[in-house]
Amino acid sequence: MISGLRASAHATSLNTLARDVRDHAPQILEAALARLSVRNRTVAARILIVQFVDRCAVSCASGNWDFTSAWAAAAADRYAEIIDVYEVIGAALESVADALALSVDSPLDRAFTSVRADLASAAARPRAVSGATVVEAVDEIDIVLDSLLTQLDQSDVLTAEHSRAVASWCSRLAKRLGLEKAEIVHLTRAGLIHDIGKVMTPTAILTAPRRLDEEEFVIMRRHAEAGAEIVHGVPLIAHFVPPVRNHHERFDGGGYPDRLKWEAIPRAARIVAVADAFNAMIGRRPYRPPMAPSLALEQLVLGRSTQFDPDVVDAMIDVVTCRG
Amino acid sequence: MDSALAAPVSLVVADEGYGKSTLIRDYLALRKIAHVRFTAGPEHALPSDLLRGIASAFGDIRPAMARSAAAASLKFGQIGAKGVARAWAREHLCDVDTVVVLDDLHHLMANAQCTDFITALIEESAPSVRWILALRDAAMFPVPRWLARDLVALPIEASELRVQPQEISAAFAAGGTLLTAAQAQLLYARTDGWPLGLTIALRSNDLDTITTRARVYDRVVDAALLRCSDAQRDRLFETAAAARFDKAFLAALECDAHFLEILVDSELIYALDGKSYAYFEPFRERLELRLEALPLKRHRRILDRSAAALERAGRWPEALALSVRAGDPQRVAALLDRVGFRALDRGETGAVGRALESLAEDVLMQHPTALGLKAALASIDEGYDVAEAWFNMAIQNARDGERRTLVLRYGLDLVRRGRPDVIELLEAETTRVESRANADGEAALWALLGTAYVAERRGENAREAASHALARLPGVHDPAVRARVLHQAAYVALDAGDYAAAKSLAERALARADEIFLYEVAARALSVLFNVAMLHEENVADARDALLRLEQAGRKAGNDALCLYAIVNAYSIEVDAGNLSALQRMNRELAEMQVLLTRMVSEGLLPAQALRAAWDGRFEHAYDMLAPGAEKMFDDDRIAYRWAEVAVYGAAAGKEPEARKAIALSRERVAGLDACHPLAVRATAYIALAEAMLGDDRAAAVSVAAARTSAAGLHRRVQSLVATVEAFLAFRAGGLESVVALAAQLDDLRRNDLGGVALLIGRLPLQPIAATALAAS
Repeated sequence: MISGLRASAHATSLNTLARDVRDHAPQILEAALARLSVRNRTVAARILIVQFVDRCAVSCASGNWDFTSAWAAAAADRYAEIIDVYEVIGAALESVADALALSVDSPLDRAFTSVRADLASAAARPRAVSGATVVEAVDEIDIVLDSLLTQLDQSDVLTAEHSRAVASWCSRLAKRLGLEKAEIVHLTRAGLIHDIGKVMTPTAILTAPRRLDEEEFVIMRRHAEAGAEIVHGVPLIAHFVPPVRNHHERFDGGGYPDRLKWEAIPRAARIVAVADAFNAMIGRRPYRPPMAPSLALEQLVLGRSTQFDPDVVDAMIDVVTCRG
Repeated sequence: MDSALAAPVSLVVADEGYGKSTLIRDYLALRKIAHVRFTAGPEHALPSDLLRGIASAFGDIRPAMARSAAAASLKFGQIGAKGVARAWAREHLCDVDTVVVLDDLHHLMANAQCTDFITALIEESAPSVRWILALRDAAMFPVPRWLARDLVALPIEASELRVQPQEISAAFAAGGTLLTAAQAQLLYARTDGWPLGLTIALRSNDLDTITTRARVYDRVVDAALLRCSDAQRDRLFETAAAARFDKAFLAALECDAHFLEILVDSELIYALDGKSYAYFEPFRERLELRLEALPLKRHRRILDRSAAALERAGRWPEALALSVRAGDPQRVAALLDRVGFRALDRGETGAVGRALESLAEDVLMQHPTALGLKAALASIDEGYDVAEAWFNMAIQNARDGERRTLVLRYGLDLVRRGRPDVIELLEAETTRVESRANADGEAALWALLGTAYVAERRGENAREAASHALARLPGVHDPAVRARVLHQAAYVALDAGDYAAAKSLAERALARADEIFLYEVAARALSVLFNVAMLHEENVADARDALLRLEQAGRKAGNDALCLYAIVNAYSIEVDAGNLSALQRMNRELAEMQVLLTRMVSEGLLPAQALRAAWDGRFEHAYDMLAPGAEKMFDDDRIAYRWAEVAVYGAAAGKEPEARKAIALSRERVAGLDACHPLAVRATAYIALAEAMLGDDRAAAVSVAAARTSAAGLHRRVQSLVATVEAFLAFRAGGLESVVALAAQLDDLRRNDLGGVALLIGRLPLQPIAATALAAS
C-alpha cells in the first residue's frame, strides 16, 4: 500500500492527483514488478510500467482514458514479441488502482474498469504480424555434428573432407530414393559423422601414405564401433548410432562389426555404405591417385547384392550418370 | 483467329499440310501483331532443349531468358518440368506483353515432360502473354481444363482450314483453268480440302498429281532433287540436316548462286524472318530419310560438313548433335575441344553432355579438354569429387595450350570448396611459359590466385596477385574473364579492408556481368557490394537491395548456394532489425531448404537464430548455438564480435564463468583490431553490455567509453548501439529518468534497423542482473 497516494486519491484536483501518481511512480513500479511472472520481469517490463504510470498520470489529469488504451495497443506492437505486454500493463494498472484505493463505482474506478476491458479485448485480438513461428534451419544437432567434424578435421583433414563429400552423396542418394525430407536430413547428417570413430584411430594409421598392413587394418576397423560409442554418448545425436556403427556391414553378411545381413542392416547404413565406398574410390588418398568415377561405378556394380544393397547401387548409378 | 486470340491461348489443330503455320504467319502479318515465334523440331524433344529453344526465340525481347536457360535446364531433375516452367514463367513472363507462337508442337508429343513444361509455362505466365499453339492433335494439352478456366476459345480445326470446292474452282479459274463442279468436287474429295495438295495440283495443273498426301510430299522432294546437280543434292541434305539456315550458312557450305532459288521454287522452305529460312517439316523429314539411306561415307561427309557450318555459325549444340550423328568419335571429341567450354558457358549443358556420352573412355583419355568438360559438368551438378577425379586426369594429359583452361576451371572449383591445395596448383601455373602467352588466361589465373590467398589469410599475397590481374585487364578480350577478374579483385580488396576499391571494382564487375548476362559473377559482385554496405557503410537499405538482386541473380544462375547466401544474410538483417513481417516470409523459405552448417551459414544464420531465440528468453540456447563455433569464424573481426555476442547470451543465461571467458576471448581479439572497425566497436559495446549484466559496472563503463570514442567517426547505426548500451548502464543504476532514456534509445535502435537488438535488450532479465550487481557490490 502506498499511503501517500491513497490520500491523494481523495484530492479534489485532478492535476494534483496526476502529479502524485508521478511522484509515487517508483513505488508503483516495484509493486507492479512484484505482480509479474518471472518470465516477464524484464527490462522491457520496467520500461512499460514506467511509461504506463506516466500515461495514467496524463489520463488522470485530462480525464481522457482512451489515450491510455491507445498507448497500450501501440506498446503491444512494440514488445509483444518478447513479453506478455498485457500482463505487464495489467499489473501496472492494478498497482495504480491499489495505490489509489478507488471507491467502488467512483468515476475513476469506472475509468479503470473501462481500461481493463479495453486491455482484455486487445489481448484477445490476434496480432497482425508475428514472427512467432521460429524456424531454426540449423539446430543444436547441426552444432554438435559440426563440433565433432571439427575434431575429425584436426585428426585428419582428408577424412573430414571425405565425410563432407559422403554427406553430399547421401543427400543425393536419399533424394533419388524418394525419401521424405526428414530422412534426407537424417542421412545427410549421418554421412557427416559416419567416420567420427576415426578420431580414435592413430594419426599414423589414418594418414599412412601406403596400404595398411593386417594389424593396422584391425585397428582401423575399430572406428565403426568407436564412432558408435562417441555418438551414443551424446543424447542429442544418439539416433545416429546405426549408420555410424553399421556402415561397413556387407549386404551378404560378411561385413563388420555385427555381420548383419540384408534388410537387418539399417537402411541408413546401407545408403552410407555406398556413398562411402564410392567417394573413397574417387577421392584423394595418400597412397594412390583417385579412381575414374566410371571405374568406381563399375566396382559398385561388382559389389551389387554382395557388398552393397542393389537398390542403393542402382540409385548411385542414376545419381552419378543421369543429368536432370 | 480474331476471336480465338481474344482468349489467352489459341489452338490451331490440324494435320500436316493444312497451312497452320501459314495461317498464323499471314494473320499476324495482316494484323501487324508483334510476336515471338518458336518452331519446334526433333532437336527439342527433351525438355531442356525445348526450354533453350523457347528462350532463344524470345531473343531481344527477353535476352535474359537465353542466359538463364542453362541454369534452369539443370533443375528438371530436381523439381520436374512443371516446377521449372513455373519458376521460369515467374522470372521472365510476369511482365511481358506479347504474342507467343509455338509451332509444330507435334515434335514434342512423345515426351510428357515437354508438354507438362509448356502447359505450366502457359498457365503461369502473365495474362498479357497470348499464346498461339499450332499442333496436329490437341490431346497433348489439358484443353478441357483450359476451356473451363476460359484460357482458350474453341480450337481452330482442320474443318475451318479446308479449302472448299468453290474455293478450289476459284483458285483454278484465277490461274486460267476452268473446272467443272464435278472436277472441283473430285479434287476436294481427293485432298479432303487439303491446301498443300491444292497448291501442288494448281502448280502442275494436273488433277491426277494428287493421290495420297505422302505421295505428294515424296513427289515434291523428288522433283527438287531432280533439279539439283550432285553437289547441290549434298547441299540440300546438308541444309536439311541443319533445319534452318541463312545466306551466311549457305556461303559456309559453298552453295552456288542458284541453290537458294531451287529451294524457294520447289517450295521446300519458307522464310522465317526475311534473313533466314526453314524447311517445311514434312519435306525435311523426307530429306532426312533419304540422307539416312545414303552410303555411310557420303552420309558422314554430309553431316560433318553441316556440323562444320553450324560450328562456324556459332550453333554449337546443333553442331555437336550432328557430329554425334555422323558417328566419328574423334571428330566429336575434336569439336568438343574447340567449342565445348564456350558452349558450356553459354549453358548448353545438355548438348555437351550428350556429346560426351557418345565418347568411349579411351577416346576421352586422348582429349583432355573433353575430360575437363566432363569434370565441369559434374561440378555443375555439385558432384565435386567426381569433378576432381576427371579434372586431375584432364590436367595430367593436357597438352600445352589447353592446360591453362583446365587448371582455371579446376582451380575455381577448389577455391569454392575452400581447398588450400589450390594455391600450390595455381602458383605452379603462374610459372609456366604458357601463362605469358595469353592476357585472358594470365589475368584469370592471377585473379583466382588472389581469392585463394584470401581464403588462406595471406592478404599481402592476395593483394599482389589481384594487382597482377588488374594490370593485365586492358589486354583481356573475353568480357566474361573481364567481369570475373574485376569481381575477384573486388573480393580481395574487401578482405583487405579497402572498401572504396572493393565497391568500385564490384560495381564494374556487376556492370560487365549484367551486360553479358553472366548471372553467377553478377551475384558474386553483389555479395561484395552487400558486404561493403553492411560492414563499412552500415547502409541497411543498400545491403537489402544488394541481397535482393543477389538472390535474383543466383536464381537465374541456378546456383542454390548463392541463393542461400542471399537468404541467410537477408534473414540476419531482418532479425537485427526486428522486422517481423519479413521474418514470417523468410521462415517459410528457410523451412523448405536443407541447410548444412557451412562457414557461411555459421557466420550469417547462427547469430540471427541466436538473437531470435533471445527474444523468447532462450539465452542458454543462444549461447549454445554460438559458443562452439566462435573460434572458427573467418577473421579476427568476426571472432571478436562472436565472442562478445556469446558473452551477452552467457551473462543473460546466468552462465557467469562462461560469459567471463567469452569476454576475455573477445577482448583478446579486439586488441589486435583497428579500434574503429565497426565490428570492433560493436564487439566492445556488447562486452560492456555483458559486463553490466555481470555486475562489473566499472569495467562496463570503461568498455562503453572506449566504444563511444571509437564510434565517433562511424555511422549512426553503430553510434546508436553504443548510446543504447550507455543508457542501459544508467538504467541499471536506477532512476525513472534512466528508464525513459533507455526507452528513447531503444526507439533509436529501431529507427536504425536494429529493432532486433532493441528486443534483445528489452528481453534481458531484471532479476539476475540485480542479484549479480548486489553480489558485486
